[in-house]
Amino acid sequence: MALSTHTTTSGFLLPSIHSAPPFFTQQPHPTSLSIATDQWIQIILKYARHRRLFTIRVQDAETPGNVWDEILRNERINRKLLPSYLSYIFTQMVSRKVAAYDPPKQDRSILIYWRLPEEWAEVLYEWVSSTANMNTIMTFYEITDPPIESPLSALPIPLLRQAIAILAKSNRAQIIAIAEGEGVRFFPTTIKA
Amino acid sequence: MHRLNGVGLAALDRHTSTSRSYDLLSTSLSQQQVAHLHSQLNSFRSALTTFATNHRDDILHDPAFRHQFTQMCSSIGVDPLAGPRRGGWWAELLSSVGDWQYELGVQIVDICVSTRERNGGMIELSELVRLIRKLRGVPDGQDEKKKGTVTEEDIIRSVKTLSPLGAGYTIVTLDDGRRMVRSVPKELDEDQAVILALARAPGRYGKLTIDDLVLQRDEGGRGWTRERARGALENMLLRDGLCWVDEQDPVHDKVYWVTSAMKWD
Repeated sequence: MALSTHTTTSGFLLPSIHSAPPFFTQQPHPTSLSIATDQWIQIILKYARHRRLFTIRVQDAETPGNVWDEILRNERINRKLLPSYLSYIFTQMVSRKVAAYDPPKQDRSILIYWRLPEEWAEVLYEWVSSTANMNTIMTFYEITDPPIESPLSALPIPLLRQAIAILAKSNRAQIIAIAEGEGVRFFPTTIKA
Repeated sequence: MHRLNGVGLAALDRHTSTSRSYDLLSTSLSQQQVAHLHSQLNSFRSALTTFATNHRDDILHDPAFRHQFTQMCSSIGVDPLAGPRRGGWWAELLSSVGDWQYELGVQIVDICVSTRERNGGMIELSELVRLIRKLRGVPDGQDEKKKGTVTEEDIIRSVKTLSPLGAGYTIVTLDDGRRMVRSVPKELDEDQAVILALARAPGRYGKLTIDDLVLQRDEGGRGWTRERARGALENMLLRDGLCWVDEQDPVHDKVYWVTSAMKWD
């Protein structure tokens, strides 16, 4: 029973540590704990990117039958990530700024930054420029649900707001109040003086 | 004596002159001996140098030859690893062997440190040999004659050269005779040595429970009490981080996994 890697039905490659039974229990020794937690964070970030998932909740570990089953459970060795441990992993992800509690002021659900808000800002700006939407006012809905699928499809609004805020700092975007609520206008980068 | 040396004051004089002659003679004799030793030493030194230079490649690449050479060195009281400070000119002469050994030491540290996360600082000697061969790009296989290959003896010798660093690198021999290199400066108590040996038993892959320890018997047929077993395992888990705990086993409350005995692909 050597530990080996495993490819899930969705085509995600799980590292060999995922087939080790103790990996699913929160380790009491600080060094072991940090090793295991690092591995879990890597797996969660990679899987989120693989399936384009943006949120994970403690209850995903409590009840089966959700998009996270493939990594939170290992049926082959009959183990599942314990909810208390997942909650600890959340605190670590938030403190490392690869996730944020969403909605804020609770600790049961996080928004996963498999791309950092800064990276999303660049992706957003690239997309606006390649679809010739500079200077036009766009609604959030137009960005996150475009007729042609884009790298920004289904991007959660809080993440979109952060990305716009980052662009606004460098004068590349501006939030504008419009009839249906809020919109955003992007500006082409001016040659730096 | 009296007749030979005469009597009276003349005897005293003669006695002094005799002992002076003896002194002279012994000085010249010992000078001769020292000169003789010096010339012997010189020829030995040049012979050793020539030998080390001529066979440098063999020493570096052929493990069997290297073993013989270091054995020869130790039987004549030369330590090729003593380093320039302690070993004086010996070490300079044999520097090729010393360098080789130090280089191996660096590779051992490299592997011990990089695998520490998954084995808790205990690595089996044979596994270390395998990884070093991989690191050096020596093709796998049991061919000890192959150039550039490294043997367990080489590693044991190199680990000894690491001792002045104070990093606590030591060779630990388990009850079943297997040897491990420990790179964490901790004392393994006897119970832990037993546990490590048991964790490596065929088919176990590092998995251990308190029951396993209670059921095992030493040579005298004595088993461990439940408290002793729990204490030893909890120490390894909480104090030393040498094993991980699994609380989801269907049969046992707690299953301990000794990381250094787990097999990873």
